Amino acid sequence: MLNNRLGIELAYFNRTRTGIAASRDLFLANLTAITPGQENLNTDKNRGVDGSISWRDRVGEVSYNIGGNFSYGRSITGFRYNRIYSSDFNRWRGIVNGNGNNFAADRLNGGPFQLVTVGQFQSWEDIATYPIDQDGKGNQTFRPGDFKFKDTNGDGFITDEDRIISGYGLNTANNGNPAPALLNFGFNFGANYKNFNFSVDFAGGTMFTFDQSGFLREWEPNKNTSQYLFDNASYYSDIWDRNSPIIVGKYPLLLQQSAIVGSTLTHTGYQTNVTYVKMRNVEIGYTIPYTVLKKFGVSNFKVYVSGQNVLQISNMPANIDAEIASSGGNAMPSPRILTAGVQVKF
Amino acid sequence: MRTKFLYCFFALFVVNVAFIGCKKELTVKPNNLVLDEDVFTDKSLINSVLARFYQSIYTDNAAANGGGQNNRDWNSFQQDPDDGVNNNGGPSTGNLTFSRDRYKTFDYARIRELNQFLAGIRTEASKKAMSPAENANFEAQGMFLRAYVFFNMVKTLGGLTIVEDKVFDYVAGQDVTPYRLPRNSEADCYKYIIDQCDKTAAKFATAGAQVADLGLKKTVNSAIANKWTALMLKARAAIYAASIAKYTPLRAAGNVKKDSKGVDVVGIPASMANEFYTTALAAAEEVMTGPYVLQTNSANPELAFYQATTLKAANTEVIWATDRKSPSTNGNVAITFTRDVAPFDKPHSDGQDNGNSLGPTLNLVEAFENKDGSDPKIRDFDAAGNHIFYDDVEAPFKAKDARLWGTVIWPYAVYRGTPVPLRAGELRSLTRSNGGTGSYTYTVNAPSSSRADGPEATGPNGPADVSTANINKTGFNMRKWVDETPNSGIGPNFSEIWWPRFRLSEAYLIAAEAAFELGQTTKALTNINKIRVDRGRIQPLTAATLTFDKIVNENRVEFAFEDHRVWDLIRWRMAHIYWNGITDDPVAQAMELYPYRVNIAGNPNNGKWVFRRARSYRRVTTPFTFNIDSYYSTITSTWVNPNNPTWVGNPYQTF
Repeated sequence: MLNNRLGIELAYFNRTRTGIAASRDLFLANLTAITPGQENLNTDKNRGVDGSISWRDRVGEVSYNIGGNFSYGRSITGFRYNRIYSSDFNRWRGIVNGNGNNFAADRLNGGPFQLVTVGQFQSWEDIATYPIDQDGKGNQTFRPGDFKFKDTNGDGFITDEDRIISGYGLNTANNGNPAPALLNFGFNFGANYKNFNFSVDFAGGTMFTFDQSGFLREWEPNKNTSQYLFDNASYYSDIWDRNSPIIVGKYPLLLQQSAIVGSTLTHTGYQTNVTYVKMRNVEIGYTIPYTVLKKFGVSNFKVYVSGQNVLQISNMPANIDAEIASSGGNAMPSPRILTAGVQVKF
Repeated sequence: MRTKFLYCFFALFVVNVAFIGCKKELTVKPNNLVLDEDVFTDKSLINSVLARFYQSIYTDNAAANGGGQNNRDWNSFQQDPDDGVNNNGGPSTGNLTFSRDRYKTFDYARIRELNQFLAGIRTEASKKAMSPAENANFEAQGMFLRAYVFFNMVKTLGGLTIVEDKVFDYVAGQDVTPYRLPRNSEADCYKYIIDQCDKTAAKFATAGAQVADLGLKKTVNSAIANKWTALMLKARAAIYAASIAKYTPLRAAGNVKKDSKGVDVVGIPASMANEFYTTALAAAEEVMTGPYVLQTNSANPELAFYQATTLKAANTEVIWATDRKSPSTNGNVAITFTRDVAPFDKPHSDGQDNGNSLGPTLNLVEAFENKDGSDPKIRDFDAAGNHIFYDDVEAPFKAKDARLWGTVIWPYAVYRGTPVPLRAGELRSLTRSNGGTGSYTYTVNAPSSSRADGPEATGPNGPADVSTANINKTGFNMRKWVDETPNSGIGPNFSEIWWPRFRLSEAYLIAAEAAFELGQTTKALTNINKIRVDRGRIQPLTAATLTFDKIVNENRVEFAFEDHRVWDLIRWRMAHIYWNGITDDPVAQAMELYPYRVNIAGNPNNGKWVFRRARSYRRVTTPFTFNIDSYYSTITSTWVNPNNPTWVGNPYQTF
């Protein structure tokens, strides 16, 4: 198109996998002593859109190309054999009696059922006058800085029933790896001018949730805690006086007694819906012309500087690596590599 | 031209698919599995499958619950504690209560495997591969084992579904509700077991009629079944059913349960008792016509009883046993019973660290009657509270039933050629407290760590009321199942003592009991006196002295530590009466008897012995308890709901 300068690609995909092995709940009489194997019962779906666009052209002595791509895809749990729900509420929540799994989460492959944080208590007065009973004890257990939760069903209490699907896939639910981003995207740009070349590409993702835990969430005895957490948690204005006012930070007060702040139910207080973009690769190089090289018997001589993972722009807490494989932040991030090189061919 | 060529090619392809497509070479036998048709046409493979079945019922009872009493595990013998006490540790606290699920046996998986085995043996291919006698023998082995497994299930759980020869299978998506078969009545289950034993015995007889070595003769170390084993199981099943029918309404009337259709899934109508007693009597009498004879020896009846139970060499009366082989290497199974239970003082042990772990109680010892018919209670004090002095420490035990020697090691009884110095301490003064009306003072010390008998007051094995492990705490040691073979207490040898399941004497006692219940007193007396006189050398019973309690006691002393007593008390519905949890109850309270040497120079009693009875140190506050609901194990709730709603729970269960 346009003399091969513009390339556009758009693909819609919808894959259905059938016959995934699963066991039936047969309720076989024990006298049969049969242990049946798994059968091809279940279905999964993957659905989404891929697209890319590229443009290459030449302006005077500068040739350049520019492009971008994205992929939006979600996996959907299809047919499941023998999910028997005891009520519509349980169907909505995906609660199968006698089975602790929360099947709603995998039905949607999105966020979990959880409480939604709507703010923090700013002062003791705020706690005393807050109309919603969060702990079933008239909010006696809260301190300034603790989270306020959304009373979804409006009954004046925060209970299990206030949980709704919130956020996207959680890293904590993905074996310690980052949750798969629903939308991934990338950009690339490259240009050549005379003997100079320059290229850069960016990669990024959005629509996934990072749930802080461990070092990024708790202050447990005899364990390390991140500086980020200390810097952002609420704290007593006078550390030696428990009657001194609490300065409210982004997170609740760090308490040694309890790692659980506000509620034993999962909630969004420590979660971030992440968007990030990384400068994945960048390179600038200069190739010495062949006419100069000829007398040295060298056919190609190039000097260059390149880098990987040079830059990240994200809303991750403490701007830690969005691709880190630890919800406590304590894992090796993607390495930043800077290379300066000379390439010689004889 | 090109098209023509393509057509040719296509034609070739069609021909290829049509005629050569399914190459025979592609149907390859797996090289990591042995197929049914190979197993059941090969006698060696059938034997190894059978060996696996025999091994799988090694635990006697449930695979899931570790089985009943078995000399594989000495600790299993202290679970019915009027016979034995665990000597390792201090006094136990809390109630010692029989757990109703202790022996719960639910093994339909084994039954299904045995049904697969029987189906394989009954194929034409299998019958062609061997002689009819061999085939019948294999089939009978499978039928016997199936009946035995089912009997163990029924005796713990009551009536269960009889699946007969059915091998249930599941095809993807099929309706499984037709498999929800209801429980059969307990009476029908016992009738089924009896009928299976009859058919098994007939099969064995068929095989034996054709090949002399099969089915009828004694088997090597009685390790596999024959006609007499099947009949013995028949007699045992029938006497269980008969006792349940007769005694449940008399003593434990709550232990019955009907399902919604009125089937007696637990409980047998009392009217059927006589029928079952008759069957038991006939089966027991038929066993007596077999090749087994009671091992007795008028010159040394004590040793004869030990040999009859514990030693397999030249044994003539064990009908079925789990055999073992020492040393415990190369897949052989030997047991550590001797290491753990034998006296561990210097001349008697093999140098092992363990020993003395199991102490037979005084209750058991006093259950053995005296040869002269006098009161079997061992006298320690006279009416005034003064000690009774014995010239010979062995005297009160030598006066007893000859079988006592073969069951326990009493103080200074000979074991491995020398007397075992079971000595609690010394009496160094005859002065009693409270001006001559109170108690004596005994000199004791911690048993010597040198393990050699020396001048100390207390002997190296104890007995002593101390929490130290491996010190005797009842005054008696085990002799049954303890091996005199050198090095049987240490690895890798260990002991190859077997575990007899059926002995001929059981046939006599079943016959005696059945005849007694049927009013055939003469026959009852003949059979019970055969055991009492030929074997125990105790006074014969007469029509006037034969009582139900005598039968209870005779079974207890004959089969001590043979996994009989708990089942006997259960079928007689006597367990909750005997094991009533009452302190100082003569049965429920385990007792010890400690011998003290008199060491008072110049006193006429110097060198004599006194005894002192007391509550067993380890059971001092814990008389044994058997609750009325423990006659049957529990039906697990998921077996009923959701798996099979046609079933109902057992007595004292809410579903």
